[in-house]
Amino acid sequence: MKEKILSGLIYLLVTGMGIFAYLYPLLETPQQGQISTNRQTELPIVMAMILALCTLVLIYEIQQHRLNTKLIALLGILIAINSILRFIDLALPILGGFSPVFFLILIVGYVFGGRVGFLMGSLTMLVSALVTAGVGPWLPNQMITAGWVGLSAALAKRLSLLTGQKGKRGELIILMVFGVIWGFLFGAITNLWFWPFLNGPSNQMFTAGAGFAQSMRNYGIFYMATSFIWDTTRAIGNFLLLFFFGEATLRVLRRFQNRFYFVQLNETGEAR
Amino acid sequence: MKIHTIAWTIWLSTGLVILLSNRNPLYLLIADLILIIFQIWITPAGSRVFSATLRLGTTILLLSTFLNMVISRFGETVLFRLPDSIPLLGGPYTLESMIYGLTNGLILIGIFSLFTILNRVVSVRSLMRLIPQAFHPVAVITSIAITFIPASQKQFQAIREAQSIRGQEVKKIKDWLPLIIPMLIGGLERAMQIAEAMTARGFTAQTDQKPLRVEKIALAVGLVLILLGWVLDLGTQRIFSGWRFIALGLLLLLSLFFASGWRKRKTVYTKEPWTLVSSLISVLTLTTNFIFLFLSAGRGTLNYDPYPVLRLPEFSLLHGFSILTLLTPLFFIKENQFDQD
Repeated sequence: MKEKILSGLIYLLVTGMGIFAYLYPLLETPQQGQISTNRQTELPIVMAMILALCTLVLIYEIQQHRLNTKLIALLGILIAINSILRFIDLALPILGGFSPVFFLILIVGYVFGGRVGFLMGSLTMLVSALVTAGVGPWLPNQMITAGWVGLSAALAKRLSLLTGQKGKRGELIILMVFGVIWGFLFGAITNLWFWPFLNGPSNQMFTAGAGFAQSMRNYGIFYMATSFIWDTTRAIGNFLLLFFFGEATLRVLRRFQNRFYFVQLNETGEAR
Repeated sequence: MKIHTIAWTIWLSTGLVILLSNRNPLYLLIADLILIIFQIWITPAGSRVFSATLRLGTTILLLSTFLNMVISRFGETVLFRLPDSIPLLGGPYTLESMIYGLTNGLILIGIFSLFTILNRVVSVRSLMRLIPQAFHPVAVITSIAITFIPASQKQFQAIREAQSIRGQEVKKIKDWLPLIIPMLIGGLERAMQIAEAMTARGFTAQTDQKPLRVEKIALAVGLVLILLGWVLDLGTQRIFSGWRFIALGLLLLLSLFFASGWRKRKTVYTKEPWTLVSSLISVLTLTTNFIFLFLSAGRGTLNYDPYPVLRLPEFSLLHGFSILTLLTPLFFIKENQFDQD
């Protein structure tokens, strides 16, 4: 029980820190305007560092408990498949923000749990960056956000359990809603990594020390002007992929889940 | 001569330190020129990679300069003026805002070039070896994934051919289902075989003992310390005022990772040799890090601000020359050595 509380605390701290890292430039009050201007070079370094650290700590915590040989092999292969799928959005930027990788991240997180989902998301970004020469300061940001996509799938599972929809059509609807939300949210979160350091029209850009409400308003306008349509294609893509392939993929993964997890019984037939 | 991956990583850190710790356009220009020369040296003749990078760099530079001129009307040297009746664009355009935007562009180009070079000179396998021992299950997952990407591509091709022989055509989204599901099932079957092979060879990611509770507590305490230091840094008016807490938290986490990695035995089939050249590059670039981060002499030249009236940026010879250390690897690698990557 104590272990669970400790693990929960670590997840809470890491997630809180990650969210704080994204919102940190926006939280500064007008009184801090001058210091914020001085921080222009410090901000991106701190943000990339904190996000990388959050990802490392979460991965470390997860691998302590959950990873046996079967899960390692499973994740390796699924990440390989997902990395191939990522070539599609790199090769066809004409499709806007559409990326087929979130489909598998969500479904794996839903079937195997949020921790495995987190690994699936963050390691998909890492591996695909390695094979497409996409390693850069943006990687920690992509890794943690994609990890959150997989982690949040546990919430979708909880929802379908609560509504009694597990194994029914309703669970797919819940997943589709999550897919659409993440279609927009992934873009909105990853934009925050570079938005405070951009130049542009004053009503769309981050102004040091402008305060949270004003910063959020400016960000909202910036997002609507630059990313909304791009992200809509991602949300629609997630919806369509889950609609057409969700049910079949869930069935396949569940069948293999039964083969991956087995309980060793003792002589009296009780689980060891 | 072979340069060790860690030496390349130190070289990268120096590039980042130079680009992110100063706003002096002269230093940034030197750094960018060095990185461009580097890219020309390692890119094979006729390759599109370099021209694409150059196009992107020019776009970044022009956009950054133009946008800053439009948004920022500060500065006293007016270059030209558009009628105030034009919404958004009307008003004075200053030389100071142009230089400020140009500086932003130079930083962005530098960062982009650094990572482009790193991706080119260091192989995927070497990058993977950088994963710390404490994260060995993650390293194994990454290794399996990278190994199986070509195999999965071939499998996808085979399934596609098999389905087209059966008359299956991909016209609508739904038509992808007979391609995706067999690929997924094939992959999962392969995962079972890999897992069994790993178990048969005695691999297990689980340690004999459960993770110590003290490790979890240390993780939580380390995170709390970093958060505390950070909040302190934000709350007070001094930069890096909470650095003691941040440093302590980082130290705790790094020690934990190190101790955890120490318990796992790591073997490599072919060890990457640490050469004299690697030492030379590391020492020289680390010295540059020290000069840019800690040396007080010439420190004033780093924080250049073109506003309100443009003046020539000051130049410290020591800082200027130390940037040249980024060129060191070029003396030890052959031209176009990385064609095969």
